[in-house]
Amino acid sequence: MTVHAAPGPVQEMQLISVQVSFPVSPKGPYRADVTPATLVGTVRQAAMTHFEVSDGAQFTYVLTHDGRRQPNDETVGQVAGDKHSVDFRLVKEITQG
Amino acid sequence: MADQETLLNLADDEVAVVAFLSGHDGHLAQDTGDPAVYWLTVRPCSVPPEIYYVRLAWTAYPHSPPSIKFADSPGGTLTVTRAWPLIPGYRATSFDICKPLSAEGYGLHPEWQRGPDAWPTTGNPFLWVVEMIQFDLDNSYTGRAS
Repeated sequence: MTVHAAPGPVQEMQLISVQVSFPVSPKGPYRADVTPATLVGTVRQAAMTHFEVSDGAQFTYVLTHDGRRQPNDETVGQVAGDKHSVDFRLVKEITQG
Repeated sequence: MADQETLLNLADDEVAVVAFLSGHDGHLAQDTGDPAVYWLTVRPCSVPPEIYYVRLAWTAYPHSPPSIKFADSPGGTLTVTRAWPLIPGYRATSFDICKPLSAEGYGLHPEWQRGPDAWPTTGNPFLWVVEMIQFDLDNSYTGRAS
């Protein structure tokens, strides 16, 4: 006799694949699989560490998706919508001039 | 005229620029008279009918930043105020971008040539410049200069 476990309340966590590109780095894109609740700011920081860059007095690095700046307090799940991957670009936003 | 190294490096990197611009309803064209000069057709995502034409003139790629000017048409006049978008640091009346991004900006601020504002020479600076212009159009654009 085969016993099948009854469906429980646990739902498998679906990870989202993120990729961050930064054209002036000799390194390739930053890639990670993250939970939907991961903040954009967390991905931004990890990507900046990967690319070995940091914010300055008159510029800051931001993540963009489809051209738009993504707030650090947004979640990757919010950006992804119903997709399972998100492509970001790391952009140096210069405030001087 | 740019040297052969510059032209070869630009040819390598322009492929990614074409792909990027096509994803933003833009276009890249090479100048018929000077192969180190490119003309971008770009538009802000908030107002797609507003089309801008940007001339990027490289001298020593990837070692030096390009001259960046807005024109009234591809190959057109570079001294038309209305050809410029209203974006902080984009000076329509001076016909320059005062940011560590353009040859004009670095000329105005020699101190940018060192430290965190230094011109990047690794990776694909051509794509970096184009991404920055598109980013400004998509996130800081407030209209057309008059």
